[in-house]
Amino acid sequence: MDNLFINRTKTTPEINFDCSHHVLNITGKSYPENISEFYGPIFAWLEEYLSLVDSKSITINIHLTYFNSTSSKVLLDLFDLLDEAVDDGKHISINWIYDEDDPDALEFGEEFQDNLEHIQMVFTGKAESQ
Amino acid sequence: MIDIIYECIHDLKKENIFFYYNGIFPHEVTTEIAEIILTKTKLEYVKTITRNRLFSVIVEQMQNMYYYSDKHLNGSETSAGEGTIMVGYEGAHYFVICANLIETKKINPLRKKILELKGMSRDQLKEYYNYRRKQKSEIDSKGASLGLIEIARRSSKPLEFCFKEIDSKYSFFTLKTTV
Repeated sequence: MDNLFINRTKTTPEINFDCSHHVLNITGKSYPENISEFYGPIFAWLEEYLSLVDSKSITINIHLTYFNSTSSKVLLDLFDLLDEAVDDGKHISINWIYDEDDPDALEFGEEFQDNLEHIQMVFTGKAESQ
Repeated sequence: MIDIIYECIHDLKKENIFFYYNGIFPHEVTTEIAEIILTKTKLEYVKTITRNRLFSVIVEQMQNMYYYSDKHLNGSETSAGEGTIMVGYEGAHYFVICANLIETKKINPLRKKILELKGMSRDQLKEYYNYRRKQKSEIDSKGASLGLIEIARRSSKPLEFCFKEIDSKYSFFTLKTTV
């Protein structure tokens, strides 16, 4: 299976899914013009990857400095997918990275955590990246 | 006409409005306006949390106008909605005012929605946001219908709004958010 790399734009995050090292990074802002056009292929890749990955340890780093309400719904679907995969026996750890000067960003991460049954996210505050 | 520009600018300044745009809100325009305000507030060393809240409110409000304004370019209902956005200072706070035409028959449900949000505490808004996020979208909702709740959550003061009847069909809807 190929890695998935999508360049960052002003309104879509960088997607860097490395399936040889099992590290998946989502970095940037998310308010795409067409939400399903952007996230559709990402979910398709992820579903295939999860079906092939067996017992490897997967690390997912999410650092979103902004996401709109529509993206928030998609992120909830993403977390549901990962939570089910863990319930299914996969080994996934999620790092929620936020700007330490923005408590809202931590709160949004904690709200996603509230919906997870099988994953305990790690919250990491970082000095703001420009 | 040019002789009134000084007064126009003076009037906006008096209200501490530093940004004004009137027109359509396709994705490209929304993105650029949000970036302009972000750049300005970064250069002015505005606190990260205020800057991010302002960015969020601006994007959601412009997307609402794109989807829900009943005035469209060339009158075509499938094209981007038209409206007005203003951004200004109010002491240590920023405000965002958006205004657009809506059909008068749509006023009541919208008023009900905003009043409901105005009556909620921060914790209630958070709970309501998370509840609504899990729901499937409303049939007439082109976005995730979460936008208004998001705006209310990011606001440091209760939302302000008004409706003004323009003719037999349309009213002018104004919404002010302070972050």
